[in-house]
Amino acid sequence: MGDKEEDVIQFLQALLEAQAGVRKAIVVRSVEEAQRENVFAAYILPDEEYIDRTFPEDEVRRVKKWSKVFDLTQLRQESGASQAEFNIAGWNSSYTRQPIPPQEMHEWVDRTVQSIVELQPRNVLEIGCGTGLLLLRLAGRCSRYVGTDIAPVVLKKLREQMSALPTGWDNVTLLERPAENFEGFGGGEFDAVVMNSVVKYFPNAAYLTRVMEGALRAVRPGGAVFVGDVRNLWLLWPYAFSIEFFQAPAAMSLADLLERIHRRVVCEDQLVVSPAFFVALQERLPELARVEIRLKQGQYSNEMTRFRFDAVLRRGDGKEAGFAPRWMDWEKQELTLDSISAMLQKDKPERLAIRGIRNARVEKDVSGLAALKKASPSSSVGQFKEMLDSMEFRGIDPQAIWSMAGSLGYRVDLSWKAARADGSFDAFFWRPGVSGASKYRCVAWPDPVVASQAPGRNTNAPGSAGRREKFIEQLSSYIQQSAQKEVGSINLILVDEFPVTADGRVDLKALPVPAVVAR
Amino acid sequence: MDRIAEVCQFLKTLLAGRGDRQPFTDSTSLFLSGRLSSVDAVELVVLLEELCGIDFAETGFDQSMIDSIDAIQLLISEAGVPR
Repeated sequence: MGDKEEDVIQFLQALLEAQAGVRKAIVVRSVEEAQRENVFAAYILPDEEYIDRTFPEDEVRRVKKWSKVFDLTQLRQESGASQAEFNIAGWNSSYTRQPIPPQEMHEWVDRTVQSIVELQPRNVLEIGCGTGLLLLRLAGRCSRYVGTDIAPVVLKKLREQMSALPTGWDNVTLLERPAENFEGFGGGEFDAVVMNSVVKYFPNAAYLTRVMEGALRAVRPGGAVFVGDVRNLWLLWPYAFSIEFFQAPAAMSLADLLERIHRRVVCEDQLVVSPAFFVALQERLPELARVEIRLKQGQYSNEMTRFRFDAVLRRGDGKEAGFAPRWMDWEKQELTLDSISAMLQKDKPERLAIRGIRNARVEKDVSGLAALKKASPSSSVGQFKEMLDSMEFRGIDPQAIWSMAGSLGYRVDLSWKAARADGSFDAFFWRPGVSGASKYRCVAWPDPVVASQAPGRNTNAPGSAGRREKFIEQLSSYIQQSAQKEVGSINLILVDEFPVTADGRVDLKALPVPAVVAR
Repeated sequence: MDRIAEVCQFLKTLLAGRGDRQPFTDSTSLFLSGRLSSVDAVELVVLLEELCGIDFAETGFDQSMIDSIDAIQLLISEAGVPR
């Protein structure tokens, strides 16, 4: 590379770093265009706050867009054939893009209904009732059931379904409104507020916070807010790996696979939330007495059982301390399903607490992602799959623990409250029959490994890809105006961080695609 | 710009918003292939409603109806809208 080109690179770098919203820029000659002169790639570490401020999100528009998605889904011709009490139009697998098999959806609905029934609510507010998968099963057990939804066509469809069923629905009220609208509901009016598989459609953490505040106000002291089917932020990357790896042809390069995974994460349209969000909420809302972060029960391995959780928030007078057990460490004590089962059978303890159990549901994806980042980018997906298949995994499927505990007369609660990035979980076994066992209903679970008080840190930012694209357009247009003579073309790439070498310098070889040449 | 050209430009913008600058032909699947999402589909539906007066509440909706330029052309012609 000549001195002239090096001068242009320095010039462009300085030009970019002088721009608002650019924290650091590294310009290199684009290797993809090695035959042409003055073709560059610029890697930019942006100031996210600047982007958010300059290209603000239209929250109302985003909520309306989701409303339209739901309505359009119900307008599909084939949805007319759905059974009245089980309308699952739109529930498609991210892996196959085909409808999730009805038996898997039935299990998902039944387990969720069971979790809510255990709260014993008589007076329920369901936010985002959709086509009534829960409402049609729960309303008969309640004296009053209020269902709200933002999508008018969906509610129309639900009314049609209800009138086609023999049951009377006098105790049910349906209201068309967004989730954050609690108008007309008094404080402490409901035994439970339910929002299942709904928060993923919220536009941001601030909106989720407002809805949680409203929901907690709406439940009576002693009541609960059930937030079901929440996508786990700490497993967003393994989830993206899982989907893209499943869909990738064997001949694809690992560099392309990694790029697809990155794009899936960055372009995520839905709100993905860390369990730590709900724990942090407890510091803001004194009436939030207890937070439970439950793994999802289910025999089927699908994206719901693997990457999502249920949060149960109890209203009370101040934070409950909870029963603090002595925790065994799964990793250090090299426990297995058999050894845990043997302990319970032999010693018959009143309780047993184990933390950090490796999660077989996601272990392969977590390990696969880590291995992918270290693998040769030019290797193929097929080669990588062979390597991954030869790896040994020793995690336990949470459902196997529930089954084992049940067969031995134990109840076991499994928690993701610690919010570990590898998806590992904590287990508390207890015998329901023994005297004083009620204290085990409130356990002091290990706290989140990474806990932030700022709500925005505990969620992703749906729609941020579009805002980042606008920022790139702004920079691109500035470069064209200011450096037209010097630059043939420049590819601007935003990065979340610059990879560094062992001695702390930026590792140019580890920068994302397009690949770069050493300067 | 004719309607299809406008739709093509709009699709390019949607794809760019996802960091996807790969070209697409008239028959390239954009939604069912996963290159664009259901939220993007809504953006396109709103455009088609405004641009061509298509009422999806009347026609019904499925992503295959807008999955490619070919499919969109068919939709527009069936709705009786001149290109």
